[in-house]
Amino acid sequence: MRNPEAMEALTRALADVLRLPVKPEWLPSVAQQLAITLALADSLEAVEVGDETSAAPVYRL
Amino acid sequence: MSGEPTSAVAIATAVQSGSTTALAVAEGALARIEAENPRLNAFTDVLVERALRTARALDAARATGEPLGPLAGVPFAVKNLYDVAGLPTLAGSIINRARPPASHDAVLIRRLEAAGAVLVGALNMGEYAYDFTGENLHYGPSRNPLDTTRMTGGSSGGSAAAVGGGLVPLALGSDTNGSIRVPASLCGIFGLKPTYGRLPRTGTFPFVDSLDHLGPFARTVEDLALAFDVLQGPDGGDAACSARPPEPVLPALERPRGKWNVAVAEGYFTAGATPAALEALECVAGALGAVRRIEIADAHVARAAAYLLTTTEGAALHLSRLRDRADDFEPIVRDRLLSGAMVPAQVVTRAQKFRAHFRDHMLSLLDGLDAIIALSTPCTAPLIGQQLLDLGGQSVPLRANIGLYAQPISFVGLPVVAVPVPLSPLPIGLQIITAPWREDIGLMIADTLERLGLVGPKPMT
Repeated sequence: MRNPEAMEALTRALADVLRLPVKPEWLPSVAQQLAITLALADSLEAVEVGDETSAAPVYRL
Repeated sequence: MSGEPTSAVAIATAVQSGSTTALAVAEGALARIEAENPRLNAFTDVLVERALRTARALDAARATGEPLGPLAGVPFAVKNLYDVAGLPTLAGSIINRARPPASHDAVLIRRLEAAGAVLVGALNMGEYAYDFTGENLHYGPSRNPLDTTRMTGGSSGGSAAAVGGGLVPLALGSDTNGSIRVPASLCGIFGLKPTYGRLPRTGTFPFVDSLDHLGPFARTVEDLALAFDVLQGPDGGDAACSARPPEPVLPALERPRGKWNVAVAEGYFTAGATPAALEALECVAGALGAVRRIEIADAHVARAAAYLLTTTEGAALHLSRLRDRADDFEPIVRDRLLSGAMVPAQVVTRAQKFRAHFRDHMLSLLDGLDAIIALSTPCTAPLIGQQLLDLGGQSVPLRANIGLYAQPISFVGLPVVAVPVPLSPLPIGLQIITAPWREDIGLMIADTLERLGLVGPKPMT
């Protein structure tokens, strides 16, 4: 798990540059959610997906 | 309500034959809603005048000899993310109250009404569909008809409560990550999440465009199939909707059938499940002669990718509302969406690319099989307000985890019929997962199980 203090600092900075209204009392929760999301993103890196695989933004079978 | 027809098929038959009137059926449904909704909190709007007007028009049409549709007089209700002419489309929020009332009904409402069904109201749901519990801080939780201290599941909680409680025989919901399958499981009713792109979403408030599905809930397989048949067909208003013509399923339910070739999903899809849930799975597997066991590789990654697409697409959808009205979201929804707005784009693209990879894997597993069966939820309905879930001895956040068996399947858009196993004291649902566009097979297997008496709602007391 990422360092909570680092996550809060990152979240504060991103909120500022992206103009997202993160109030100080919301910061720990938003930072925790972001940490969860990035941890889940790590699991994607463990799977090899070929360079030629097309993304499926609108997905059809 | 003893003696009154209760299934959609029985109601339509009775109205068509004249043994009852659409008006009497509508009045009966409205009376049940008035009596039961304070207990269940399923409805956010009840459309008394509209329902009575529609029912009277049906009776007048019958009186002149006009043929009535296959859902003649059948009362139904919709999750309040469907546009209903004259109502603001709430999508479970208070923010959307400021939207102008919808000028038209959603396409799926129009299709049901064209078949003779009677819209009686709009239903409670989790805020902006970002929910697995059926709880809502603004409108209160929808309550499980089998035990009102317990969750309905969500986000289509009002839809499941209304059908499970017998207020209406049919309801429409939506499923992005499990929002039909989870409440169907916890409330013990049937639900259908069709193939991605099968049913048009025109006139509904979105959540995650690349994952959103619409579908029906019912108390019998026949009703579910009848509704599905009426709902099908292309629509130019939804870019993701397939051009496939309707492929009616109801006639297939009457066909003789041989032995099903079904596999049981284990590993990820049984880890953490309660003993009772596993027993239900084994009971159904035994009845279907499903001896083959499979583990779906990378299911946990599929769930992670679905989570990533959900939080980022959801954030993109709500960005202006987050900037202007952040205080008016439920805190948990707001914080997830705010964090989703901060996720790097490369993560999203990787998740999308993984989807193609996982789709191919699922299609290869389904090759030669009629279906894969898996649990819909790891446990029966938790208590309202419960924050943690015991997952195989590990205590985990309930909101994020009760849909963990549903997410990998909707991630690749496969059709699923959710069937309820009537455990005591509370039911649990199974997913019947089939190849793309083969909802017919899922419904036939569900019909087989229903005829064996293994699946179906618990009797209402």
